[in-house]
Amino acid sequence: MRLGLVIDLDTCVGCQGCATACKQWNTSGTTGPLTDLRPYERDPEGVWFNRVRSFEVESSPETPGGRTVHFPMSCMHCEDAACVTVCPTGASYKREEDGIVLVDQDKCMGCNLCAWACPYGARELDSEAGVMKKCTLCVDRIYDEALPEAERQPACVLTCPTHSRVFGDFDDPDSEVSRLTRERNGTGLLPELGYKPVNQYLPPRQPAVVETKEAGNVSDGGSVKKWINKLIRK
Amino acid sequence: MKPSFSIIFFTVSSGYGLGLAAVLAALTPELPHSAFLPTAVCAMLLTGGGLLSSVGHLANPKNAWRAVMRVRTSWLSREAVLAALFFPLMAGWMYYDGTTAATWRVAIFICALLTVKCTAMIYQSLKPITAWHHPLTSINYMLFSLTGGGLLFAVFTASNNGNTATASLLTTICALSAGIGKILHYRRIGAAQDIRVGRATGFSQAKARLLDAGHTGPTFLTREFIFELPAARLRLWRYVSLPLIVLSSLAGASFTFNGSAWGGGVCVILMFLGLLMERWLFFAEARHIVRLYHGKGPA
Ligand code: SF4
Ligand code: SF4
Repeated sequence: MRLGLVIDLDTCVGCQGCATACKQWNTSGTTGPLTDLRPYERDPEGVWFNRVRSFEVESSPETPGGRTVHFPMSCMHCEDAACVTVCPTGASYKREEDGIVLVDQDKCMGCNLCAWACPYGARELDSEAGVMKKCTLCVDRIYDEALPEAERQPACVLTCPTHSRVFGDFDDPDSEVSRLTRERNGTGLLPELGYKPVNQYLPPRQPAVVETKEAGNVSDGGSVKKWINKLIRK
Repeated sequence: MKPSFSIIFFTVSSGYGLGLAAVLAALTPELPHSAFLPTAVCAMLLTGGGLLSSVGHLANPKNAWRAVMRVRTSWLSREAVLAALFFPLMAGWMYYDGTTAATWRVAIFICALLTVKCTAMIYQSLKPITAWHHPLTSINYMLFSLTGGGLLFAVFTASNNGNTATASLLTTICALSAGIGKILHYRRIGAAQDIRVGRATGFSQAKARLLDAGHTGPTFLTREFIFELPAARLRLWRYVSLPLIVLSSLAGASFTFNGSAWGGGVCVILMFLGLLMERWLFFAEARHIVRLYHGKGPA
């Protein structure tokens, strides 16, 4: 199995719902609590597994008119995860059975090296606990048999109001994630680094070009409208 | 990258100590026997002090002993194992009173230099930091380590009226090559760090810029990876640190060549300061790809 997410950049509206749901679920999950520093002061700060950034892309032949793209980023659960290779303690590991990359909180010494090795900013040190934290793909939800089957999905996927996130097994060619990636030309970020990120991004669709015609001289019953308006104002 | 003093001090101090051990092993017969123990102790103190300082960087030092667990893949683990091996090796060698037998000397020479190599590889192996991801990184680390170690060795030899010719010559050669290596490094990183925001997000067709980072304050990521100083300031550090290192080691070599341990000693300290500055710059100039997701870097 190669579990991961597909993220649709066409439909994501940047509502931060996934980031918030992630924080909420995981703060009481296997790697929680996710420390918050100065939560009620002017400069709160804390550990998040999922961050949504928004970019503006300029107009070009491929992106006519330019566009705003909301860009959720969490751990890509890379096939060739350098964060795991560099970790000296063995705290960072990738599960054989489903490819989920996790941190064993009992082994981590907080050296930050794995965060340095991750190009996607997926790892954040919890300064209070002194250990590295990161997206678990909600490993404690997706296998929880006490939950109804439909809810055995990562919190970010369940909460997304636009269904921009889909969870599944990329090794299964018939899964929705595989199908979407195939049909919509999904790509992983920074392929040149060779990390082989499992999560895939679906590029924004080209907006269909709508034919427009010159309106010409169309009568809109202007005088009637004026007359009514006058009447109302009185 | 945010420069952290504990790591800077660690790489410089351990680099000196291990370089000194390597030169000591290579040139054992050149050193008057009376100076062997102080030299060896000095190498161990510098290395040990550096390693202790590196622990200061850990958020959870009680698990530091686990750092030796992943020798098969992690350069940090390899470094930790070699460093752990270095001390018993040195202690054994001291117990046998600095025997000139090849086995001890070869073992310590290799162990010391490989440890420096591993330290450098921790940085060199990181692909998201293009400034570091190049063989020049380990070449620089090893050459600086040998320059510092060579000069220290020459000082110990001079203070015991030994023959410093070889050590001073070695220091001169290493200092000049280290200088050239660092200039090549500086020439390289300007171009190497030019990854665009568009490439990082996959929108390579057009210019992309950050509209909203998704958070209002600093985060672990911005603190750790976004460290921006004006280019002119960074250049100034280059112009001060590199000449300081090279000139002080050359001057030190000529002092020790003429038998002046004092002059050499002062130069060792100047070079140490220069190297601290150089290591600070090594971090301050390196740019992590994550900064592109925070709107830093070319559009
Ligand atoms: S995204 Fe980063 S943290 Fe996640 S597997 Fe890849 S390198 Fe590791
Ligand atoms: S911070 Fe923890 S998980 Fe990351 S490399 Fe260091 S020991 Fe491993």
